[in-house]
Amino acid sequence: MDNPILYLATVVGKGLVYLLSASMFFLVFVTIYVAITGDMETFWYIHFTEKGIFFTNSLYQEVPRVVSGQGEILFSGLSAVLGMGCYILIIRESLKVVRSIKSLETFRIDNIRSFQRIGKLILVLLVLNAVILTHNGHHWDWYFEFNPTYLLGTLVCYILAEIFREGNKLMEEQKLTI
Amino acid sequence: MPIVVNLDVMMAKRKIRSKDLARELGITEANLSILKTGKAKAIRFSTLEAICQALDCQPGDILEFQPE
Repeated sequence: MDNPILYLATVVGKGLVYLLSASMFFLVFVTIYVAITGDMETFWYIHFTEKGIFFTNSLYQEVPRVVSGQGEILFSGLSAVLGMGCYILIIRESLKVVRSIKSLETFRIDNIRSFQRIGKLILVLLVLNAVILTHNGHHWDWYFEFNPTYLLGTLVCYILAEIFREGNKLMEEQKLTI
Repeated sequence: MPIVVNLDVMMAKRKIRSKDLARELGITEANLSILKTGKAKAIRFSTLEAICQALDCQPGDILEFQPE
C-alpha cells in the first residue's frame, strides 16, 4: 500500500531508532566514565538531573535540578539508558505494525501482541520516571512522582489491541466466507 | 455446527469434479474444499445461487439443518 503517512512514519521511526541507539551507547559511555572518575567537567554540555540526563548548549542554562554524587549520576544515567531502550523497543513494535498495514495484513494476530508489548513498555517508562533518587550529601532520599500520561498511553494501547483482536476475528470470518 | 453442507453428495449425483465446479463458480479449489468440508463460516447468496445453477438444484439440497 502506497500511503504517504505510513511512509513518513517508517522514515521517522527508523531515524529515531538510529538516533536513540547512538544516544544510548553514548550515554552508557558517559555514565560509566562519570561514575568511575567523578569528572563532570569534561562533558560540560550534559547535566545529570532527577529526570535523567539533560543536554544543553549552555553551561549556565537553568535545569530542573542538577544532581551531584556518583551514585546519583549512575542512577540517573541507568534510568535514562533504560528509558531510551524502552523507546527503541516501542518504535520497533510500531514499525512492525506499520509494515503489516503496508502489506495489507492490518489485523494479523502479531499486531495485537505488538500493541500489548507497547502498553507494557509504557508501564515500564511510568515506573522509570516515577522513582526518583536524590542524595543531599548525607543520606539518600527517594520520592515517587506519578505521571498519569503514561498510564493513559498504556490504556490506549490495550484498547487498540482489543480493537485489533475484533478486527482479526472479522478478518478470519471474512476469510471463511465463500 | 448444526448446518451441514451436502455439496459433495450433490457433486457425486451430478458427476462433476471439484476442479470443474470451482471453475464454473469462479472460486478457487481451496475455497470449494472449505465449503465441502464444512469449515466455512458463511456462504454468500451469490455463491449459493451459482452452485444451484451449476448443479441444477435447490439451496435445500446443499444445506441441511441437523439439530445437535
